[in-house]
Amino acid sequence: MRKSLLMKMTTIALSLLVGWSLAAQQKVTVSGVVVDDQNEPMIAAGVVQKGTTNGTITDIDGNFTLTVPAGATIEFSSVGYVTFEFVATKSEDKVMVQLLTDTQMIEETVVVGYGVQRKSDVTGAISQVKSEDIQNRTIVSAESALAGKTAGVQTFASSAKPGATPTIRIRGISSNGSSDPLYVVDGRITSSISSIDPNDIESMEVLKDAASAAIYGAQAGNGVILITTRKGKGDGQISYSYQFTSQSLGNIPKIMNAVEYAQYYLDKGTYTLGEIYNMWDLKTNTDWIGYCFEPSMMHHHNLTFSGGNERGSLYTSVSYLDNNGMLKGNNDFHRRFTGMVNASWKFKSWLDVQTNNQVEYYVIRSVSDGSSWGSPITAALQLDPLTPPLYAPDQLPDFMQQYVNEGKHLLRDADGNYYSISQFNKSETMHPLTQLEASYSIMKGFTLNGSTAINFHPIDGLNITSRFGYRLTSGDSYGYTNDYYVSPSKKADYMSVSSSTSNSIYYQWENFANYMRQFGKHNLNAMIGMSYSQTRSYSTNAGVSGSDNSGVIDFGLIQDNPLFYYIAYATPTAIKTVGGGMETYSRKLSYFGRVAWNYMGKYHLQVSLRADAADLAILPKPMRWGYFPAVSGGWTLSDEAFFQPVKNIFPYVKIRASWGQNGSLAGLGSYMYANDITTDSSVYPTGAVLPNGSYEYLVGAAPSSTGNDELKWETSEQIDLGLDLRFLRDRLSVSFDWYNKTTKDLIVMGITPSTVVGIDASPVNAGNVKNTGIELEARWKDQVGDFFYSVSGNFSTLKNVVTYLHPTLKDGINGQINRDNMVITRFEKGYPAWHFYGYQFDHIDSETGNPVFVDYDGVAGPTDGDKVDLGSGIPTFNYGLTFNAGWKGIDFLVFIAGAGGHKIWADLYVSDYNANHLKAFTENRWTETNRNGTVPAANSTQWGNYMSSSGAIFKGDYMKVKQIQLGYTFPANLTRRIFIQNLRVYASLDDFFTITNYPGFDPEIVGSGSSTGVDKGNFPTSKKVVFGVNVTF
Amino acid sequence: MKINQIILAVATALITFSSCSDKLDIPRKGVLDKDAYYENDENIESAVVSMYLQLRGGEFNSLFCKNMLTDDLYCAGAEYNDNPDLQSLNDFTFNTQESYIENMFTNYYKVIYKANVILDNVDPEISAVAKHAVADARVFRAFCYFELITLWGNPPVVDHQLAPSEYNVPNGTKEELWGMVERDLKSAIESGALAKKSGLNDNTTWRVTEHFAKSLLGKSYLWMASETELNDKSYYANAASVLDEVIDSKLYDLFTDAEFGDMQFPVYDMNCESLFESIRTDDNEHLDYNLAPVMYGWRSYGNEMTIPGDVYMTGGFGFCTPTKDLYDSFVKAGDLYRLGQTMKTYDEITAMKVTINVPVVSAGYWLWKNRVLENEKVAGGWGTVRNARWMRFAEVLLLAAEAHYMNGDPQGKAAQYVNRVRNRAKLSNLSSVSLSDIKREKRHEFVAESLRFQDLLRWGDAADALKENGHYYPECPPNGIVKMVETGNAVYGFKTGKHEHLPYPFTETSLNPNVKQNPGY
Repeated sequence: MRKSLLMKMTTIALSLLVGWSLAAQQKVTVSGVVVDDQNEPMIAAGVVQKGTTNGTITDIDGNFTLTVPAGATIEFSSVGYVTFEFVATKSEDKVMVQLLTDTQMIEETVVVGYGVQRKSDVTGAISQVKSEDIQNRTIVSAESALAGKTAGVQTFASSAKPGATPTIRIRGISSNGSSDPLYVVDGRITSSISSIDPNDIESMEVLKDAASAAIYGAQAGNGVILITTRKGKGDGQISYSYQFTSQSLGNIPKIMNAVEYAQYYLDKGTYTLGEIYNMWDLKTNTDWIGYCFEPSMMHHHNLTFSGGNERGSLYTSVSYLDNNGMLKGNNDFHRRFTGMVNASWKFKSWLDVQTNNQVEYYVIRSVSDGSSWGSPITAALQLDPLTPPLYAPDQLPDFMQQYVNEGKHLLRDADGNYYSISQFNKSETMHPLTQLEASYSIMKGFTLNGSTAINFHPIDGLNITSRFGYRLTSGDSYGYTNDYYVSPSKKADYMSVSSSTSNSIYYQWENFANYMRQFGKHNLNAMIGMSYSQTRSYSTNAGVSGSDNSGVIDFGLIQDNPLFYYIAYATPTAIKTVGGGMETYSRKLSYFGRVAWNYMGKYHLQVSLRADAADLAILPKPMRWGYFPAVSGGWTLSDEAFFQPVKNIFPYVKIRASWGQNGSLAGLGSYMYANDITTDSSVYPTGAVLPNGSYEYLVGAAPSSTGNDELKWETSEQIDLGLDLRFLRDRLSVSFDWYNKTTKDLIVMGITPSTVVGIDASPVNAGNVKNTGIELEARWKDQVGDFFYSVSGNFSTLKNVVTYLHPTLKDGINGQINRDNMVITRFEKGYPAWHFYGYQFDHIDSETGNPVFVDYDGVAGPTDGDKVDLGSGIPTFNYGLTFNAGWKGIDFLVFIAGAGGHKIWADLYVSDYNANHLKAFTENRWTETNRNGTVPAANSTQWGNYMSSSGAIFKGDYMKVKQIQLGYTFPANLTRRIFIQNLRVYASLDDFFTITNYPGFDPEIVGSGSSTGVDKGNFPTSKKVVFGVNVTF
Repeated sequence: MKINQIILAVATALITFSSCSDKLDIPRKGVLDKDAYYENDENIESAVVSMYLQLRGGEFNSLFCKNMLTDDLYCAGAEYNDNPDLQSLNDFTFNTQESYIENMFTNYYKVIYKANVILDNVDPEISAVAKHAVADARVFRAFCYFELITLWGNPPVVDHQLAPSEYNVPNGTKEELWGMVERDLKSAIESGALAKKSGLNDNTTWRVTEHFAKSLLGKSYLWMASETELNDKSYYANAASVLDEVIDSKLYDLFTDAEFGDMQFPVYDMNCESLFESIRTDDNEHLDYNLAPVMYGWRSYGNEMTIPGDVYMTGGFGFCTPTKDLYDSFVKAGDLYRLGQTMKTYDEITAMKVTINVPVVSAGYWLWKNRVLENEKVAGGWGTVRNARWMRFAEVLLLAAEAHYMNGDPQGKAAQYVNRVRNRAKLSNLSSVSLSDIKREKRHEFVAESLRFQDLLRWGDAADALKENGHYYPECPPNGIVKMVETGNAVYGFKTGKHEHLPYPFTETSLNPNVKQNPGY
């Protein structure tokens, strides 16, 4: 076996032998039983004459028999156990061999870019999430596995609807544009990891500091997440796991009930008592949220086959996920089939091949959310509780009966009941299920991706790799909007159908060489390589729509029957749209190298450089190349002579320091810097009618933007200082990091520098952002008799501030606009990125019930001069705590995660449409009899200003108990009789408890990007009850 | 082992790929290089068309915004404060982030940019098309600046495409700004390249005409004469003279083919009274509809009113209902034909079998002049395709009358022009006109045509006329007994020293440190 420094594992063994007798022969036969440390017989343990292929495996009861020449050495081995050897000098039976697992810390390795490193050699800040942190959880996407498990990683989710994935931020928000990290799956660079089933992940490494990530250069400015998928091992294992999840709405916001609603609108003066009596039966008290959401089920199956030996390995798996969302019925779901085939084979002593491949097929049906203007979610929050959700056909209110009599197309449920139309809110907010019935959209597609690498080892220490990665995606979407009738103007008299198909082909080819050599006590590891990648995207889309041409209705489709809801069955006169059909390319070219040196494993130094070239769609040609250097060092203090006196207390102490630069494109592309002429989307009629009867039109064209020939890469520069400690007999390990990350030449796009310029500005390099923080990860692991337990925790702080903006931007960029059309987030010098901005609410005027705002500028009324910083939606600290315990067959896990120090802007008060409101905005309102109320009177004209002030902002702190899991593993001597090596069942409560004062749905599910911390009614996380089983054959 | 060969192969691969640097030069699809673009007639015309499209794109926003800023109309809608953004305009409680004001400001500068692209890049000497394009660009730039100056006072002067170092343009002075408007219009007129109608009933001239440019110049002179900063009353004579040229051309006349209240129907687009229109077609392939008529439409979106289809379309949002003050003004002047063509009363609409189902925001009057018939709706009832009428001949007549009057001639042409407008309204001749006659005539003639606010500002009447805006709103229940309800606004109405100008949008003042906000915002 070729000696591999990197993969080497050190182990410590313990053995026990019973039943010893003597005999002197040429050939000897040894038989007996192999047991584990629980004295349970071990199935399929290897029993081999050392250095030969002569061997056997133990049977289901752990028995073996092997004949070897006298004096030969017999090896007993099994994965995860210490190999035991003994010299057979005579035939023996009833030998009992006990193989023990290791309880001491083993030397771990971590994956780094274009190689692996021993953890003790690491000089950067790298966090690891191992498969045990991912298994048996209800997470559907690999991104979610990082939340709460590593310090310095924050997840922001703007929706938790089926199929949605959260946004990952490593060490804060470093850009005003995209701050997404780079994902590298088995060496393949990708922007999405949603096609991988979390069960297939072996480990995830988060490269947080610049020096670790710098080998990915221009794409690494927001950190890098390396994902290693599982490899085959062992003698052939078949595992099946199944998880059943029942999910229901977790945190239900408090909104007004019928009586409170009626009182509110009486107070507001919208209705008189008489009017309310006319439209309300005094009994109805509809819980729209309860009506729209229902407990739903998620099934997750996973079957894997795994095996391997010295020459090669095979891992293959199939998974099926069926997640039905919480909205009533089958209106939202995510179904996913994934498969993986990973294999490796050593063909020659100097050549081996590895291949990792995944396939995914998905079907997603989702609903719109995250819009304060209308979605089933906001409708459920806004509709009045005085209207029942359904009417039986014979109990329709008069106005609806009249619609029916007029032949209007009112929508009905499966039982024939009519969806209600609110008389209070009828013009604008539609019944949530009517919205679902009125439009349908579904996405389907597949992803095929993977990488194949050939490794040459021509001479000792040199390893040359040529790796080809690919990703093929194909997807289509189909949707239609139905005809329906809610009110004379909220209606559709015709249908429209849309359909699109798209595919993209990505490949990358990378060639790199690693050279390792020892010179006396010096260890040298050098790597050099190049990478080239290309993406080709292609899509087409088409749609048909009926029309209402001067009262003449064209239905759009030849039949009103679902079998005809396709573009092919459009009426000849339907409006048809087509688009796409244009292939687009993007390409990248890079060179990179790294030199790592250490002396006696005590002093470490590493230097790396990557050069990246962007294509013309991204940067202008003269600005194409970017160079990203890094340097890092480490010192293992505990190996020094002077440290020996305290070494028994601190067996391991290492300090680390690193500096480096990374780049970011911050979402650039599509020639945004260019100043070319584009054609207007509309055409202009001259009013003239051509001889063929059609109108004459002229086409307009104008420059698309100002242009910027000097656009360059965004660069983030980071310093990291770290400390790794192990003490208390290695049971406690602690890792501490401090970092300071400055992103320079921030690419600012999508804004007009000043409106008088009269045209959209091309992106400019216009600002700096600084993120600083500390990160602490600690793990305690111990065993007391049969009782194992471990506690691991992480804590990180983040201070984010915009330190510079180009003078042409004065001092800020406006971000999110609230429902009252006020800018509520700004990217502004001296404040956190996209901090909240508005009036400072002071108190409620006890005379009028109007809010009073702090007057900073001395000008009467709330004015621009009164707008101030109102806090930030970025948590200033995050933490996670995992407690694991095991006793005999029982295992128990609690996982808690939380964030705090930030705020949430609840943009959820709709001042018109007679909408229902969160109680937080109504309960303690000013009234004639409650002049000390803390929120404005119902009829206050200042609600718009109030919702643009700190009055709409709440503390965002939350703590979530993400998982409480109890599992039981059946004794192996029982299960083995039915050919099962391992059988575990478990039950779990996931995302079940949330501790927060935030009055909306879910403090974890609020906006990201420029709406960080802004809640516009997003699809919340469900709470889940989970049952699962894991079987290994 | 062929180590050397393997190393050689890999090295070759590395080197081969270094040459793929060329592969990064991916050409952009669907665009043309700007440097070589403005050299042929077809491309030059596309630049002109883009300017027309840009103006049309901002039409609804600008015209609707200005209609909200009057004493003639209540914002209305489904209920008081139905649309807080619009309501704040009507109540004069708007702030610097009022979206209609912001969009109007922004769009005028977008049109100016497109005009500057032509003026910077097109050489007028290369062809007749080029010369025409340059002349059009000057008219468009002047038109936008007229609006910016009269509404904001001292907007930044942008007379060319700005380089990044020039983005922070400070406020302009009245001399610079009006000077540019005058120069642009004169230059366009003198170039002789502008379009000209072939006769009174020519409805094919879609470009801005020489007479539109002259009308705009006359209107500008009238403003310039009233500017205290310029302090030059001789502009009244200039105004009178250039407006007379338009009137004397006989290429325009008052429209009399149908009733006064029907003139806005799409069938009368480009009629003899129209100086300039942004054009739309009822073509499903290119449906760039106008939302305004649906906004004005009587409130039936939520079935608040039931309206027979032959009276008025259904689905209107119910914005802009006339004030009692406006109604009374008509009655007091005996202007009854034009009153009936402009608005209908509660009794009149109920006689037309309209029923009111729930209380609506109305003083008992509904606009008739802008009415939309059911068969005119397009795009699922969301709009109509009527053209935007930017200026009509009646305005030229009344501007000319004002110019002559201010120039000291209340009897001659001033009276003559006013009487032409009065006669069409079935009113008798006046032998001599007073300024208040002209003002009243203009108010009655142009209800809901987006001229009133600027007129009030020019006349100095805004503070008085608009002081009560936002104090009360009318509620008309099904029985028609109108009740005036206090809005609850602590501050409302036109405030002297503040509302003479609209605020520079927050987006502008927050990005451009050199723009000084107008007082009071």
